[in-house]
Amino acid sequence: MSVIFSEVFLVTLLAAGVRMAMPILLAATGEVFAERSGMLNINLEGQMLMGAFVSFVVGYYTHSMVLALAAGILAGVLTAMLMSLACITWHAQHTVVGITLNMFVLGFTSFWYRVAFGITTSPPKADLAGSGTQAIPLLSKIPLLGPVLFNQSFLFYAALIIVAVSYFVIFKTRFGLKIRAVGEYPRAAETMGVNQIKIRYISMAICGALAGLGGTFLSIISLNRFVDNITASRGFIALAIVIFGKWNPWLVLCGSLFFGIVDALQLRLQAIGLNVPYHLMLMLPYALTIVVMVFTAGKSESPAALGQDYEREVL
Amino acid sequence: MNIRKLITILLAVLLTLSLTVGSAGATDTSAAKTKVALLLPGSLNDGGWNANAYAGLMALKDKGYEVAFTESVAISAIEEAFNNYASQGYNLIVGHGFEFGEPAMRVAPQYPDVKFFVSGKMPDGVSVEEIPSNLGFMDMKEYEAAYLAGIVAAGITKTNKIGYVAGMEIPSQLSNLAAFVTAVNTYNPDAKVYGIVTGTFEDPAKGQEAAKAQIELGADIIVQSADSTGMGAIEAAIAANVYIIGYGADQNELAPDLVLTSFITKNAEVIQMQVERIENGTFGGLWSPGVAEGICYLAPYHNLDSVIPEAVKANVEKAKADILSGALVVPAIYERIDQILP
Repeated sequence: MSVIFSEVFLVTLLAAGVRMAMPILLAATGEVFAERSGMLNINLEGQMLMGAFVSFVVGYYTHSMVLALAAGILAGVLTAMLMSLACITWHAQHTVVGITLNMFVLGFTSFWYRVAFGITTSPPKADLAGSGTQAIPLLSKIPLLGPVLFNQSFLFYAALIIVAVSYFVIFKTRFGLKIRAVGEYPRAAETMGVNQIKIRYISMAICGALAGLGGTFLSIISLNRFVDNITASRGFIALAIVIFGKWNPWLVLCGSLFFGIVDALQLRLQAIGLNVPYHLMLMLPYALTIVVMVFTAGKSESPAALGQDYEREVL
Repeated sequence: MNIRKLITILLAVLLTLSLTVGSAGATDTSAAKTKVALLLPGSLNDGGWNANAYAGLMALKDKGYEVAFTESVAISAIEEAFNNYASQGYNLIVGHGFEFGEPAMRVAPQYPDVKFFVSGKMPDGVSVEEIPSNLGFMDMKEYEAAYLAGIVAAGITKTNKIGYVAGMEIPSQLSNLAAFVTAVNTYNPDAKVYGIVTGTFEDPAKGQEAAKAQIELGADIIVQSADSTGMGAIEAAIAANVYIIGYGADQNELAPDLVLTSFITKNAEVIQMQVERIENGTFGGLWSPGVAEGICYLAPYHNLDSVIPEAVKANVEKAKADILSGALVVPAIYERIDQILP
């Protein structure tokens, strides 16, 4: 029992929590853009999975981390564009398209993985420079904070910057105001000369890019491999985290870290043999997230036009 | 036709296409041959439980049988999948896992001419007498192989801490973990097993973090029995340069200098044997093969043969012989016995 209160336990727990939060954080931050513009992007999971798959394939053949990351981001954007085309231009229902596209991406990635690599008991590996975690000299030696904050993947620092920039863009710029306006009341925004189609497309592209990046974290940063359905529903967790975070990137960061740390704690408590039912442990991250949501819930701050189609009146 | 209709149709086509990816049929004109269908709980590419069964199916195909399979069958879709193949005239339908048992009990009586086989033990509360004559169960004593793996781990660990990453919480997974812990307790009472049931066979990122947690707690051997989830556990062990015990297939190739051995079930053979059993009329009921039958075994030590002390190897051989002779009965325990506070 004493092991739980040791410094090593705490440090490794927090470091693992940060790692486990990463893919969810990136995707959820993207989803804030999409939902702020009124797009209920249920396809988040698919965009992550596509990013994970394409970045792995490109990384495997080119051995370049930069190309692999770029390809993963692009794959996420393209998947998001499919969703946008159906929902914005062709006015299809967001949830239906999102779910369908998720199934399509799952089939698509599994199928093409087999075409490229076959079925084998030793799946191929893409060992790219920069995968895993990198300890930053000196800084990583700081007690407690060092191993938690300065022994992470480079994507962790990128994610922090992305969260800060996202907050600034959404709440402090004209462009962000347009995104929020379109998500709250598209007709009013259009009357003021805001092109809601353009704004929603751009928001979806940003979302796809970040979801794709979140997917690459799973395949080429941590695992170095791709397996079918590698995202394992993290896209759906991210959707919940967005609500938890009240469509605010900083709160989304807190929500993702909370989920990641509780999940990491669950694994550790089970391992040291804490004598409580481990079924409870397994559902701990999900249950605690719901509990926190219940207690922090105030007035719903969801964008008013979330998931609603907007059709221009043509005279 | 308006654009909305077009989209709806387009989506319907997409949906159908994505659902059919992953099921494939091979047609053979020799009508007299048995038609075999295989339902897999996970992905073909898990390098273990599912991949092995698929290999068995392909071996049947090479022998001229007409075969078909569907992978990643969701639990809610099992009954429908059974019905689907049964009504298409398949003679043998294999549900590859414990979770197929209950639906098989419901479907089998409706198709008396079709044989159903479940590679798992019977659902709770079902006795052997209640099994329909056209349904076969296999209560594989996988845990006997897990026990042997436990002997190896007990003899190798220096820190006396061993990490075990399990998959979904199903009887075979729990009994493997329990048998492994029993062996470790018997052969090295000072050693402690850090067991984690991840709850999933298909989340390598989770398996990776589970193994990392165990390694950070001091484990110097990582054992996995979690298919795709275990792939992540192996990756974590490679990164930390600790020994590995694999599962489902000889996983030595994944890290030749770290994989001590793997505990394996001969899924490919098991599936082929069912066809033989139908042909000799011995099909059905409950079949419980294990180490003695050669269905469950430990993979060779390969490169690491010299690392494993002779005494440990002798203990493994002794246990094997005792299982064969009946002197050793590995207990089948379907609960966690590793969860006692340190």
